[in-house]
Amino acid sequence: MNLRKHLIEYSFIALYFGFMIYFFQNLGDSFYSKIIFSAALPVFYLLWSIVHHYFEDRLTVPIFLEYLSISLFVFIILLTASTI
Amino acid sequence: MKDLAQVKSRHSFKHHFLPHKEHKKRARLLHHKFFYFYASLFLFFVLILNVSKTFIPGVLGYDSEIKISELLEKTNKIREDNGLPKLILNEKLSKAAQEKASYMFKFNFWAHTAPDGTEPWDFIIRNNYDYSYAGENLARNFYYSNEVVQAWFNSPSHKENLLSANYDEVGFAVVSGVLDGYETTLVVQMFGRPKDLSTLTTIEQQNLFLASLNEKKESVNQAKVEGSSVIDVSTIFRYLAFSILGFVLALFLLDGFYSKKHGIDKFTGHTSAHLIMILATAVSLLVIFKNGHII
Repeated sequence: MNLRKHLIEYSFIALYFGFMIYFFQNLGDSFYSKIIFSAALPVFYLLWSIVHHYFEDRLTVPIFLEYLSISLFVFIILLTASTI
Repeated sequence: MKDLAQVKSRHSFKHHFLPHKEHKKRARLLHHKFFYFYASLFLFFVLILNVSKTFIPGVLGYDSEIKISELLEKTNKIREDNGLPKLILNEKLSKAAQEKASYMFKFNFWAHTAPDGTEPWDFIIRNNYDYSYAGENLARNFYYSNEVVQAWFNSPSHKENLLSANYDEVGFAVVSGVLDGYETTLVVQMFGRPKDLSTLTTIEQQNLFLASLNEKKESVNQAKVEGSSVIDVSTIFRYLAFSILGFVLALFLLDGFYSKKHGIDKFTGHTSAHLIMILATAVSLLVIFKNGHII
């Protein structure tokens, strides 16, 4: 695993996720807030992956699809969990 | 030939769980097509729940252990910690809260103002509580009394009610029923200060009322044991969500360690980043399931 090489970037993602989770703990009960909560993590992750792999010169369709599928998977889990 | 086919088959099965050295790919179960499959599983589950709640309303729901005495105790603890006098439990405000909860179930809404325009104050006035100040906090789908009051305390607008010096009395209702197809427990908290301060509830009146509530609660619990049990949606969903997340997490860990051990340099996304994402999702789920909803 490439943990050491990208430690700063991973710390940035983890910090963002931590901040978002803390921020959305007290979010209201409206449908829009649920959508925002469910999308905040996966959308950021997908954008991060595009930027990161673009600058690493590794942005290919399979890699993009890998991140897209994981982001979609996470979005659906969070949305169904918060609306159930 | 048979041996070769067997080896190929074993080889193929193995790569559902382990990365491929020659192809430089992840385990098949981590392929993007499988993530669409996992996502579809969730959607299918939600579809089943929606169909179930339409055809057998009240079977799916949330079970709770919320008690009015604990809600009062926790509310007053927070007020005392912030240098405010305790609120006294008022019977009229509690009846108003009870009526408000029943009204939400009857007309299937979850809001301070009903679709027909009925306001929280209408319930308070109907119960002959002539107020100079009044307020309302609502909560649903919580398991424990402490969680309800803590959630209100964490929300600025609800905290304002909890810590308002304009209130002397409070009323609570904890009512279970079917809302939007699900068995739900609603908590209504109504605050007030009577115009005529000589009508303020005394401690003795409060204790008598609390005792009568305990008697009622016992008879309700007895009826609940004899009645049909509720299938807890949250628990089913929690098991499903954490099982799939745990499975994916284990696959990514295996993928990372196996690749490192065998020197497989895959041309894929970053395993560590995916692990962070899956863990963040698990934490988010814990937050979602921990919290009920307040308005």
